[in-house]
Amino acid sequence: MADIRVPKLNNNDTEYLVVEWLVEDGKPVQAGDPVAVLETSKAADELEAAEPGHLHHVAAAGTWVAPGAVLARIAPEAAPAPPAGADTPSGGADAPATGADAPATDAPALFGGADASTGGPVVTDPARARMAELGVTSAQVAALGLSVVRRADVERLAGSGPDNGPAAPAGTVSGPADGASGQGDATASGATDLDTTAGTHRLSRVQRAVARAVTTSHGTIPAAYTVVKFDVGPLLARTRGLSREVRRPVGLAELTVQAVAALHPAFPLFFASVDGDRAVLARAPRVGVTFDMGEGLYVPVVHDTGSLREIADTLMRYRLAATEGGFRERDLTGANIAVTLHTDADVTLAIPFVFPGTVCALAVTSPQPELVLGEDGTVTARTVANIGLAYDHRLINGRDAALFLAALRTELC
Amino acid sequence: MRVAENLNAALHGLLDDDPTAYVLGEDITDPYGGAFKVTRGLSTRFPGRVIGTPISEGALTGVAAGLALTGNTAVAEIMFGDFVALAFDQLCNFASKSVSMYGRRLPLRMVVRCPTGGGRGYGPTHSQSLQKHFVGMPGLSLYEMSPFHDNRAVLGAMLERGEPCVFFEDKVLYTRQMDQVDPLFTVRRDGDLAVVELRDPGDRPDYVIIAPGGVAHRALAAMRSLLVEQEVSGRLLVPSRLYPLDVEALLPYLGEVVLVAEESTAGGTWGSEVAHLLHGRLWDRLRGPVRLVHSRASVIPTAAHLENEVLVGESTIHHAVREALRG
Repeated sequence: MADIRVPKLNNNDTEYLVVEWLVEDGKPVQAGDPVAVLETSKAADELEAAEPGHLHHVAAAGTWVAPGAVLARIAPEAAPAPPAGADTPSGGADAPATGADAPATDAPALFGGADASTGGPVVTDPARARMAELGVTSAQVAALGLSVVRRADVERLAGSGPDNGPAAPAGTVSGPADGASGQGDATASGATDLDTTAGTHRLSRVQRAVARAVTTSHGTIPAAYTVVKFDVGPLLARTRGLSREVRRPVGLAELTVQAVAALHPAFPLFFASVDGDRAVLARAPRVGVTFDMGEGLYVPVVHDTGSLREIADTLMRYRLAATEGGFRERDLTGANIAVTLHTDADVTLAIPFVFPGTVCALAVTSPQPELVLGEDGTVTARTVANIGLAYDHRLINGRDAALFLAALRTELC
Repeated sequence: MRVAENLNAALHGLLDDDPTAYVLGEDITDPYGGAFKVTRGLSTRFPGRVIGTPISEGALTGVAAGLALTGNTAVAEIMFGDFVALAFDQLCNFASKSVSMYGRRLPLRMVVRCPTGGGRGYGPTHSQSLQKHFVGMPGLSLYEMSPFHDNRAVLGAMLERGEPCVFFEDKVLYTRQMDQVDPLFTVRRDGDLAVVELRDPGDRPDYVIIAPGGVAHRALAAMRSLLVEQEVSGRLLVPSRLYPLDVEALLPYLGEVVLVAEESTAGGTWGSEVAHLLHGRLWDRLRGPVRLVHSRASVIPTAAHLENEVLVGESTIHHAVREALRG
């Protein structure tokens, strides 16, 4: 079977009109026979068969075809004809819905896209990913009768909609839900409740919650750690302009939260939670951020990462709340990833523990100057920060962690 | 029907309906029929009223203004819109003033057609988008051709204004089909405005792009990739009249995130005029300032791969929308 593809006939057009078929559908042709007339904006052109066989029309007369698209097929047999309108030879029912992986480069893209010619719906990339996870087939989503299939449609189809489904691991993040959680640095956060008579130190309520979360984490999560050095000089230079633009303070914390959230579509497992042998994915990124202003370590959650302004707003509110202990319940629940901030200039490495219910946590250390050799051998200075990722080794491996950090660098710097 | 054919039919219709109508330009007579074949067949049907002129944009625009001043209808073709700069004096100092400087309003029925924009490998001096240089001139209206506006109606609207109009025609549109969009989208008209939306809207659009006709298909390609890759849905607004802009007509279709995409380089552009008008109306409702998408500040290269790097394309718009949504 050979395809007759639409050649590039001139540079002015992105598509040509199929004026007429010179050979009827299913009839035999010889090599060199003219089979169809195509019209460009300037001239009409005949297309010839390259080999003998039976001609099967793919595009109908009177329709517009793009260069590269399949116009007809030549088969050794008169029958069976390929399915009407099948634009790509992908075939199998389970080829990712509507063959949308194939035509993207091939035909259409601009107007009169491939999805129309194949008759199937457009399936978004997030929906496609969800189909693979939930075992939903192309036929099932096609049966929905939608022209666009989104992630939520796939979830509804699999009976795991927002209400009964995986959603965010809110309930399982016990530490933050209790009102506190954090890292093992018990020094600053708890010294409020001294039992002087017994010579012991009683943990504060906040620190007891931290302790429970740490214990659960270390008892249940096989953690690993990867740290990468980021050149953050240009980024910090940008923050001033951004602060003016959104009229809120913008720093490394705000930009890191935004960049981490932006990785959610590409790295869904990093925002998931472990449930036995399954990973339960989150619908949206919700980034927990550590705050320790001396009143205890809190990990409030940035729920809405839609814009830098919203993130800056939220973090500013949390900074104030951390000094006054004025967090609300919803501020502290629902994180599916965490960013821990280390503002002390001498901290070069910090390994956060992974909050139960999440699979990773990022540590951002304070930017520090560093000497580097320029290309010409001269010594210059730059500003670097170590950004590390602690991760649950059940779900994420070292390679994934490195890819995630590389993507974060691209997003951030 | 291709856009060039639609415009050709519109000119035939105009000359048919209006015995005082003239069409002037370089090489517009048969058999050549103009560099883009838009005037094909006109001189054969209407000899004496379709006039091939010498290469002198200032002169032919001046003659067109004179014809209009004496009660006729005049359509002038600048072969490549870049050369309308040579007719700037006629437009700025003569035609636009003539509407009002003789003591009472004197309607001028005059259209200067400007094949505009790049994407065709015509190089630095035949590919520019000069709309911005004509924005804000009292008595001069600017329109832009679009695949979603019938050219006969647009021509009619321009002449009805009774003042000189410059009609920008993005060359990449000539070979495109009228009213054709990716099947994901539908087009509807609300007065002068074409509104292009997802056929199957998930909910209200996450962003709105305002783009004149030549950029519309690039905006639509970006809207498709944003939907497929990110599940972000948008709405496209394509006005036919650029200036004076009917900003009230836009308002019902705008949301918190608005972008204006145009092919010109940045700086004193139509888009910044739009942004300014919208800020006055919408400041409290916008998530951030209206974002402008432009071509790079460069001459336009002839080689296709270099030209692509300079001109506003699908990826420029895609990127700008993502940035806007991220804040």
